[in-house]
Amino acid sequence: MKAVEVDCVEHVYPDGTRALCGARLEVEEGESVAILGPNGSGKTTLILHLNGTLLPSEGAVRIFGKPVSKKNLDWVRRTVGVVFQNPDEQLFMPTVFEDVAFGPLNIMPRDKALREAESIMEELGITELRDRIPHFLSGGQKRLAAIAGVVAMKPRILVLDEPTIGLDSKARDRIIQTLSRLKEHYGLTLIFSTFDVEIVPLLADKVVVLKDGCVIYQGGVRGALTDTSLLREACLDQPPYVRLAEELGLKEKPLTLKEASSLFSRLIQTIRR
Amino acid sequence: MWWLSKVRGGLSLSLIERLLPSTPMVEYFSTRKSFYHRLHTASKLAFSLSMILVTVYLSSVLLVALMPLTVLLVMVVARLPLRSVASWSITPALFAATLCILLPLVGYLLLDAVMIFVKAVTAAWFMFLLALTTPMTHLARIASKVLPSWLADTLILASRYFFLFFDEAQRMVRAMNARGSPPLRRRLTLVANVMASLFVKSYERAERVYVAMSSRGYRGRMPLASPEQFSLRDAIFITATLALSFTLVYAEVFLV
Ligand SMILES: Nc1ncnc2c1ncn2[C@@H]1O[C@H](COP(=O)(O)OP(=O)(O)O)[C@@H](O)[C@H]1O
Ligand SMILES: [Mg+2]
Repeated sequence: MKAVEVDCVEHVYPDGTRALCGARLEVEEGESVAILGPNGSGKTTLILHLNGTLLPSEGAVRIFGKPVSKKNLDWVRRTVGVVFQNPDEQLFMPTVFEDVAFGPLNIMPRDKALREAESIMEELGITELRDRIPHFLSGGQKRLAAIAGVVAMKPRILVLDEPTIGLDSKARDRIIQTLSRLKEHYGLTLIFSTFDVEIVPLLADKVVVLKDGCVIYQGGVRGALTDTSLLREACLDQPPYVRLAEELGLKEKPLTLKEASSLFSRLIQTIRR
Repeated sequence: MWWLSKVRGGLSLSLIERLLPSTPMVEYFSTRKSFYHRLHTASKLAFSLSMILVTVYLSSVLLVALMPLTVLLVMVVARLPLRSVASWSITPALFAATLCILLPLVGYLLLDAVMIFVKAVTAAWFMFLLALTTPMTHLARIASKVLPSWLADTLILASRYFFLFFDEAQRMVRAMNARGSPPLRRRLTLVANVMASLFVKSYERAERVYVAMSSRGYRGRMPLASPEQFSLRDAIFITATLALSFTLVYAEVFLV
């Protein structure tokens, strides 16, 4: 079943900026999709359409076949959990535990809600942040706490706007691990935006490339990340191992460290023989 | 005039920071652990309020002098930062002092004026004691039993976002100062602009926050998780508070 369909969506901001022009996008249930594009390409605008924070000027967004409108916003927002780029907009309660428990307390009996919040925090490994004040957390901790608060609502689709932006590599790895674990555990449909081509092969099954509000590519991860002219057109970096392979004139293009090390160890063995 | 040069030299928020407890500081100290911190919010509220009432009621010099000592003692037990409390006291002390300087002019005895000053500062200390040992959420929970929900919810959100606003203002003023020190008049218009753009920013943020809240089931009432247990310790503490209050009042009426 199609979890998300974005059908010819145009979005014009009140000041006249046309941020999306006829964007089309389809995401199957259980799929993991990366929305890839440089700054200002319309990623945030697209993501804010997925839970009805913004409504299209033209075209339609459908979630599990139902068009998003003002009338079904409650259902849409329960189905599509969005983690905003700025965690300060998401962590609105005075302590981390209060924040994670906020959603469950609104929809289930108190005892169950508190247990739920505890177990999500345990699952994300942030139990020790329980009584901390969001303002004083590090970027990575804020991001994890914000994810916990959204996942505690048990959405079927999890959407994240630039989940790893501004994080050091350790915090970034932790977010990536957490997201793949959550996806596995809850069978989530995952959609995230980024301009970091390195994290795409670690999380996504599919890539959508945005440029100036238009979808210029939709398809496999390998297809996007090895297409030099596509990446250049979208002002994106090549993944480092692809670039290395290209410099060396190799036909095979490894996307991740794992693929690269297996390729090079095979090459080294051939040379030795 | 050291404060005037301060204003000229930096219009610095750090001065305001030093004279008023900022929310991050308050939250930081209110979540620390000590015997006093672990008491139920109702107990701490009862203690601060009844001690303020008693302070106001007392009139014998000896007994009144006992009250600031009491609050300082409890602050030590609660391991509060006495030096910061001292600098935060400057503001209420200045207010009280302005008032008390006028009192002898309208016929009050000097001693009475001094007593009113001491009482005012002591009352402020009892409020600091409460604020610095009780997280906002706990106070808000009690408040939400009495106040309408929109007001209680606003207080909770304010406790989260006030210091973000404060930080942003500080960063913008710092950035401004780092690029030269314009004359005071221009500086004031710049500060006004900073404030305006911060309000616009806060408005945009408020919209997002509202979406985040409503997608997590908000229907006009903020639920609070923080579980607080009323324990034997609280019963004993409240009894002791009442006993102390009665003793002081008794001493005032019959012994002095
Ligand atoms: N609130 C707004 N009002 C007007 N223009 C906006 C607004 N938000 C974004 N834009 C513009 O829309 C375009 C897409 O922005 P955005 O969706 O934030 O891109 P991205 O998230 O990929 O960086 C940009 O040109 C940006 O300047
Ligand atoms: Mg963005």
